Amino acid sequence: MSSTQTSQANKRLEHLSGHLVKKTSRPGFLGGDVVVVSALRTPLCKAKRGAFKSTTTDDLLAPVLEAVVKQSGVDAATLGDIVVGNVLQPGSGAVGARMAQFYAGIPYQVPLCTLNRQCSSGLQAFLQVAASIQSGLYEAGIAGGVESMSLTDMSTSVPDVNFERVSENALSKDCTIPMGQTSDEVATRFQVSREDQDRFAAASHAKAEAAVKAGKFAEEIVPVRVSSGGEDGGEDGVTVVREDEGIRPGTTPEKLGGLRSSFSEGGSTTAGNSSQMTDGAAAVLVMSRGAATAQGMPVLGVLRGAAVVGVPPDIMGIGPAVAIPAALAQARLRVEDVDVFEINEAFASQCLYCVRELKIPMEKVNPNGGAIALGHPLGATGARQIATLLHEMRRTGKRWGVVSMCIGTGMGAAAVFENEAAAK
Amino acid sequence: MKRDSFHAANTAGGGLGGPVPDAVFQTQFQCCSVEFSPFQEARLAVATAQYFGIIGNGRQHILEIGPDGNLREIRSFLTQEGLYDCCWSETNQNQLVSASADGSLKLWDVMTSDGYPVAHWQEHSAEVSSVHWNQVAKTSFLSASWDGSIKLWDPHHPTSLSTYCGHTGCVYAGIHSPRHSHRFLSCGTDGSLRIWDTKLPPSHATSLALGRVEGGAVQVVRAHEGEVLSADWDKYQDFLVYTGGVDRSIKMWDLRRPSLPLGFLHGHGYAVRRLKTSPHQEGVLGSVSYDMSCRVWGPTRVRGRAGELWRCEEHTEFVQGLDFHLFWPGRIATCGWDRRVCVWTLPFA
Repeated sequence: MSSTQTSQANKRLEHLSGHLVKKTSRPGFLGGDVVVVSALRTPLCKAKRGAFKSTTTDDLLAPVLEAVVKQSGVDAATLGDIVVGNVLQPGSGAVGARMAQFYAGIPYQVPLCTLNRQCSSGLQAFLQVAASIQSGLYEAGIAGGVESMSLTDMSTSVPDVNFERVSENALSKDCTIPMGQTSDEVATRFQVSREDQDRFAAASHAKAEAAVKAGKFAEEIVPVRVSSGGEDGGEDGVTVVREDEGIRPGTTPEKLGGLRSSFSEGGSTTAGNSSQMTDGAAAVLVMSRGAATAQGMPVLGVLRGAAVVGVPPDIMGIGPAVAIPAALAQARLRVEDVDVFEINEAFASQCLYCVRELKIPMEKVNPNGGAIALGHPLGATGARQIATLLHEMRRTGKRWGVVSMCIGTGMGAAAVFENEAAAK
Repeated sequence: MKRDSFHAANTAGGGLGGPVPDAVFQTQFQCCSVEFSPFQEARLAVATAQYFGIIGNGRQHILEIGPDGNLREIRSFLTQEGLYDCCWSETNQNQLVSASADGSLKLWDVMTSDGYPVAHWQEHSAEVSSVHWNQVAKTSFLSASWDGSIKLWDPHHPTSLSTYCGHTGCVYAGIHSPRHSHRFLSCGTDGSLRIWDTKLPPSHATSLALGRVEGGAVQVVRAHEGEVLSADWDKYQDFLVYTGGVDRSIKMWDLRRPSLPLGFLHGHGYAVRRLKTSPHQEGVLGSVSYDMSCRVWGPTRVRGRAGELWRCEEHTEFVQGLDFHLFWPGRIATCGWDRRVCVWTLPFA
């Protein structure tokens, strides 16, 4: 065999072996990659007594809508839709959200809708925009969420239903159980001790405190201007809110151990190991891969899988334990492949149960604290978690991240994101 | 075609042991391509290459399905270099072209008495990966090469009519549109699917200067992240194209809106080597893969979404060739590196 022939054969062999590589990239999720270009949130403030206690949802939402447009530099007129999650405002605050869009300078030609899937509304908004992009309806949109728990009352939001019939159907009846009691039920049924819950809650505060000290949240927080004074009798003025209010430095399991159970006699769920009532908003700019590439947008994260599942309403807190594996299956990943989990801390009991059930190492869970320290503005939480997760992954160079939460009336939602910069 | 006939069929594998071929022919070298004659329903051409096409000779077989249903050889031509593809002439029932690893193209006539081609062209500077005859104009054919170019030929002309450059890296297929004589597609190493128009001069690119289209292609679709090994036009819808590649997926494209694929067909465990759309059933296509399987895809009972309808795992090596019979709906042929040519009848048609 001549040397020419040998080099020819080598070339062909090399060529052929190129056909046999196990591809390194992940399969496209449904109809093509959907990417997050910008993800930002307001500070999260204590409901009823915090900086946003009299701030309406339009004023909370507008700054984040404006900020994601500004940060990305996208032409707002090219947005295909804005979807906003909201739980407590009447009619999910559809009118207020549309008004906020105009405050943010987004032209009226861009449509907007609001939606409510309880605590996953912010994630659901994102998934709706992602699905629309994947089905080719448009190339770019904003997903977000907003909640004012100051101006609404969760405890009085009793549904207008046929209670005679509800009482005859066990599952329907379970939908009336207060969330705190479902937490106690999870703790009892799956043996999550009060001590473990308090330890978990204290850790949430400690992690959030550390994150604040390290200035980590600065990248994801959009300062919000609110009018101060007025009703308090002080002088009228404008205050700029820049920081989260819920974090209690120095929280220890021992201190939390002294709190009384909040929801049922002898229950382990307390105000200290539950999420806080909070006001806030978040927004995520979502684009098709093609549009992001064409416009030279930075890609913060790529959606690789998502799932919403149903679970028994009386133990609704277990939702993430079912939703996370379903979303990971879509992304063809295992729990151990994931580097960071943002699992909403509705209650320490349910979050801890899910972490244990899925055998997630604790250091991967909510590295910057969760809703116990930061608060849980219901409709905004999903979008808030996306912002916190993607900034954390970018900072730390982690590749795979998961956002998940439990949902009242018995559901769980989860989404898997990839930080492509970490794959290279 | 009745859509119900799909559903009556036993899908995906056909039960225990998988489907059984109607006829099998063993070749001397590894098979690279198979194509049914557009004139004689019993006839098929098979291009083969020695030592997996890496080194050695090639042989162009012409086979026939005999009255007994078995495959037999009626002619074969030995070549110096391996043959990677072949296609039948659309004007002369006895002629066919072979794509050679040495960059040459050879036009054979089954009726000749010697072993030489009736025409021979040497223009490509690297392996020719694909040849495809224009089924509308019938007077020309395309060749695609690892040298990165696609050439248009008239069998009566001593040199190529045009050369189309634009791909970076190898081109794996140049396929004429089944409906427009002047349109063709190409795909290759660079992950792109390109649509070309032979009415436009090949120098179109330079005249456009820094234009948005590359190398004279009228459309460039970023189809796969890795190499695109095969592509075909839908035979019923002008704007639909399928691509398959090293990333193991098959994608469906609407050329009017190519920013995202219309759909995916997942299932192959390794690169999709070749895919062809059915001339008989809208929405049906076949694919063969390095995973040693041949699969047929089409609308399924699940809301009519495209999915796997049939699969054979008879081949024991990479499957390289695939064709749909033009006169006999449901009849397909496959061939592979196990040196076998198999003819099948799909359980739906």
